[in-house]
Amino acid sequence: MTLWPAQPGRPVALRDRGLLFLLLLAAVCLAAYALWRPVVLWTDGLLFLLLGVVACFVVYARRQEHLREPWRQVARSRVAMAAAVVLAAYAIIAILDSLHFHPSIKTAGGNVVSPAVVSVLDKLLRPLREHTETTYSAPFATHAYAKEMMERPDGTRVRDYPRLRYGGAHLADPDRDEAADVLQTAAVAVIEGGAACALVIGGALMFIALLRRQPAGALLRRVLAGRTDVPWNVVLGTASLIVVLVFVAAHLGGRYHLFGTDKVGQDVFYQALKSIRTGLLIGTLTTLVMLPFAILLGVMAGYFRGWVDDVIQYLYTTLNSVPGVLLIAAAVLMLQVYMANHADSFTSIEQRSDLRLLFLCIILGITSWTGLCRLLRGEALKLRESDFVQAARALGVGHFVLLGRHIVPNVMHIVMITVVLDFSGLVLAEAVLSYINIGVDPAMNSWGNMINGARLEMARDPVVWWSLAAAFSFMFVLVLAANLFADVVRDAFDPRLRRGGRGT
Amino acid sequence: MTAPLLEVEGLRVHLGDPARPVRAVEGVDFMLRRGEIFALLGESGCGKSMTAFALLRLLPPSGRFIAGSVRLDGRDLLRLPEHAMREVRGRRIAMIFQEPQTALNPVMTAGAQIEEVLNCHRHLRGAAARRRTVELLAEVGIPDPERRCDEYPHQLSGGMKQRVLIAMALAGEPDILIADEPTTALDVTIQAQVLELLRRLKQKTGMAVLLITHDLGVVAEMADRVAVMYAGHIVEQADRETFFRSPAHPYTRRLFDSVPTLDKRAGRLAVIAGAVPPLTQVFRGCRFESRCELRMDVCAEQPPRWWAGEGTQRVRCHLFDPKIAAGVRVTAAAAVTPAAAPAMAPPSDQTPLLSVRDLKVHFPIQRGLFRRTVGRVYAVDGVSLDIAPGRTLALVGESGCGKTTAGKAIVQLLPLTAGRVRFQGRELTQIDARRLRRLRADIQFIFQDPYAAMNPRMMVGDIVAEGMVAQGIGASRRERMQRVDELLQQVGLPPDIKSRYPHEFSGGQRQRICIARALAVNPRLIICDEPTSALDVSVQAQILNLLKELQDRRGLSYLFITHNLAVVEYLAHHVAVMYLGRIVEHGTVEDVLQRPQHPYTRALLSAVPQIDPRTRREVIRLAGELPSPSAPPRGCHFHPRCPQAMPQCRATYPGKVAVSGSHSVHCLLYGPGQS
Repeated sequence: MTLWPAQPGRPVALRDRGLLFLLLLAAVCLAAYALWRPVVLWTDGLLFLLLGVVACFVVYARRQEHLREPWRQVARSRVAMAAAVVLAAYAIIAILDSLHFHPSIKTAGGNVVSPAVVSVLDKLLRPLREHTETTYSAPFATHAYAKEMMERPDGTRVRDYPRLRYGGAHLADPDRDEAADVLQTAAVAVIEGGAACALVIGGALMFIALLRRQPAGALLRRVLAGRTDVPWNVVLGTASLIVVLVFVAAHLGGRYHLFGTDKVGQDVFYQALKSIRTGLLIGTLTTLVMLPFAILLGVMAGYFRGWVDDVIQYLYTTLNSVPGVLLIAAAVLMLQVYMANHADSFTSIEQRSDLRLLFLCIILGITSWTGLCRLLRGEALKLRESDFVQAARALGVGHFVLLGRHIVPNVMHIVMITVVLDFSGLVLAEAVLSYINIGVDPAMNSWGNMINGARLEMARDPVVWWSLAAAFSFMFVLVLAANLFADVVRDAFDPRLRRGGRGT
Repeated sequence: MTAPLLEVEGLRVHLGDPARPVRAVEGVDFMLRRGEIFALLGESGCGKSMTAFALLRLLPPSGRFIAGSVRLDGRDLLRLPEHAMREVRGRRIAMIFQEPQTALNPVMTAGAQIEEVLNCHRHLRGAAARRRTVELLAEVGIPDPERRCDEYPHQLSGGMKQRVLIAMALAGEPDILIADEPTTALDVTIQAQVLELLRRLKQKTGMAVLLITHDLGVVAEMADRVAVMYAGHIVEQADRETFFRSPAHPYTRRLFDSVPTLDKRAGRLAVIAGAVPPLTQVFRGCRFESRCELRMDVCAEQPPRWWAGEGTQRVRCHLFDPKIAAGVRVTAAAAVTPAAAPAMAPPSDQTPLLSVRDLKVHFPIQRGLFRRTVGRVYAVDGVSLDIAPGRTLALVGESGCGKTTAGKAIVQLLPLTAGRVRFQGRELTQIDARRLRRLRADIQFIFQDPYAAMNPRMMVGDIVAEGMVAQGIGASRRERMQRVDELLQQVGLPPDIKSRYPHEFSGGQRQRICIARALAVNPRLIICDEPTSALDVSVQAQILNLLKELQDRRGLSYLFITHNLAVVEYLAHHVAVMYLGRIVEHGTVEDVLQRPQHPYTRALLSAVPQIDPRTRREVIRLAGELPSPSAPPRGCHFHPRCPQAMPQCRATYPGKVAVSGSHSVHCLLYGPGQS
């Protein structure tokens, strides 16, 4: 039996202070960003809205025992926490990529604001973005992938693989030095990354130990041995691994093309990183679009029955019987025509592709709310007959209060499970839709577009496999992490798997 | 005396986390002889079902044996390999379960499920198996066994399913039958049939029956020997006569006292203070010590060992230690509170608070594409009743007779098909939704299952205050919370539970919270729908006491919907007996329970298991089962099952016949009556 609130006051207060600190940090970042000629694209705005909604939900859930307890159970799971760290890393990249602004360009007459729109991530990844080769090159290649006619200094012309402009350009003799250079750079990066992690984690531990007036050594031993409520050893281990990987990528990425380059010489690693935002946005914004429909209509249909139920049922049955892909194709093609006819209302490529992304999210949301709606209708049908709803009716509670207070909180676990499970499906849906050219704008980086491009590359001889491999591995890690996380969330929220059960 | 068939010694079973185990069974010893019925009696959570599962080695995944032995004919079952154990299950020891609704596979016919057992243990196949299945079904008293063989569980009624389960258990021709609350989910008349069947089968086959139950009445009617379980071990063992003549353990005695009866109605029922201690702890002294009113210093310090009581009786209580208890020995008779004569107020002739006339609730049966109405379920078909202020009317009947539907229709939770409901002179069926919502404060409803009646997502304080918010009682949240405190105290709960969630409470506590919620809006009438049927006897006593006390203090009226006649005797002033949507007999408690007129009432009363052998009567066996309310029989609804049916019963539904000023009945035996 859990007695709430029976937690000792101190750790709660500490966590509250931590939350406050995070909020403050976010506010400062936002203020700094606001001073910096920001461009808020539609999807950026919605992403921030979503973050706000999530933050509100966290604050709300912290006060609701029935939501807190399952999440606590999630937090105790090693798999879930490792997956959550991976997801968080993806989310950070997506957020960085959503802070858009107009960069300034140095010209002869001083700094001028460029009309182009770039994101913070672009700025961080500037070397990757600007290191474009002429055409394909393999991962870690120092020479191009295809032979070219080259003129030697002595005037003779030979047909050979030319050196890349950036990939391994610093090496005098690539054949001899490359392996050693890569290893050495990677080793330095690993050491640096490890040291950075050790420093940050050690500092944080010291700080917490100081706050709690405990010896830091004991705290460290407890964390390492996994004797903490939340498996901090797993969390910190995964985070450290990611940080080390970031360091390695940062060091090597400037000198080589980690995942090679594509047809026009763009770095594939950069494209894959940029695609993260697209994937995450599709996975999350669609949910934001779909939830109000699904919850409101589903719960109303189940609770009111009668003609309301009939109307809503006909609505989703009709929508469900139209093939989803057809609907999406029609909507996207219509949008394309509209954009072609009103070309002057879109000032930049970013704006155009952003709008198309948003539209895709909306249309995906419209086609995918029916499943959840049906589930919620069934649940509401069951709940409306339950004794506690009857009791509330006998007390004279109004319909909408009853819906809000008794029905909706009792279907939240289904919503939670569905949202988390749907996420990975939506990320994959984007890839499929872009593959058949009705997904995001071709100019936008997305895994689907990368795979679509790889269609022709796979037919080449020798095969150009790295675009596909990059898209695949980035997507695979994200979807795997999301699925592992979803499994644990599902188990935690599923009342049939809940331990304890009734009274005794 | 025959050699023991099954011997259980020092059985210990733990559940859950090994670091903090739930000690579900802690040192249970008993033995079972051929041809006897041994009853294991205890309240929920005492470990009696777990003991039964342990005998078959069917523990839940987190359960494990810690110690002990279960010897069947000298062979220790706990040491057998699993494949040998499969031979024992079904073949040597068979089990029937509490819930016949879920114990049968819904996609297999009844016959196929029995044949499966025959296949497995008797190696009968094809026609031979079929023949034996029909035989078995006939043996357990299923009419038309050839046809029933090919029916699916959903086509069978509850009593029929329990019979099929018994037939399945018998198919392996076991030596021991474990019956885990075999009749708890059944109505009294069906219960009487099933108990009778078990007794007959025992005599015929000579098998031993381990009967697990919480019902003292069932034990009194069935058992040869009795063991009482409390908090994971047995506290008392005796043969039936000794057990009922002089229950020894203080817990057993309190259990007897808390059973409601007519002669206790003047006073309060005895209750056992506190709750069963959690089984996660290691007990130092006696397990009942914290709740025992006869506790001594030694009880807290050392666990009592077995002491001899009267005859074969053995008790685990320090009171029976000849050294300790020389002077403190209290006899069973002295512990029972003397029963005062029932002081009944004369029938009140005030204008009724609630007056229901000709209430009908029919549910249409819709079929096909256009939802055409093809028939109706006549759930409530013309019920009239009156409740005076400060009085209790009990609406009695078996499941499916429409009593709950009638209750819900009176509070307007279900749409009425016809009829009038007047409350304090206002017609509830005619007023608009807004006014009705205001009026809802006056009539409240208490539900059967206290686990389902509260929103698990809300805190207790908010649950109790919900009605106040809806009805605009109390100006501010602070004022309302103050009132919640008072209400919680009134129902015997500490006010500081306001910020806790319902799942943290036991069944009895939850029912108290539900009562507090109902009281919060100052009702005049409370409709109680079997408020104690989900609770243990000792907890039931607490709730009944509370309801009675609230009636005395606040002048509440109750419409008490129940199938439990003992509760009716204790609490009600008037009784209405319902059968298939209609009231068949109506009168004061004395009228109906002591001078029952309608054959159905008589059969119902005779079927209730009696603790006291002196009051035991011949059980009137009713043929068949309750007919479907969608196709009630022509004429008198009861005539197909009535032992006294006459030809004219088939023709007309009998009108109301007044037997005395307060007593009326619908039966042609007493004249045609006026409709």
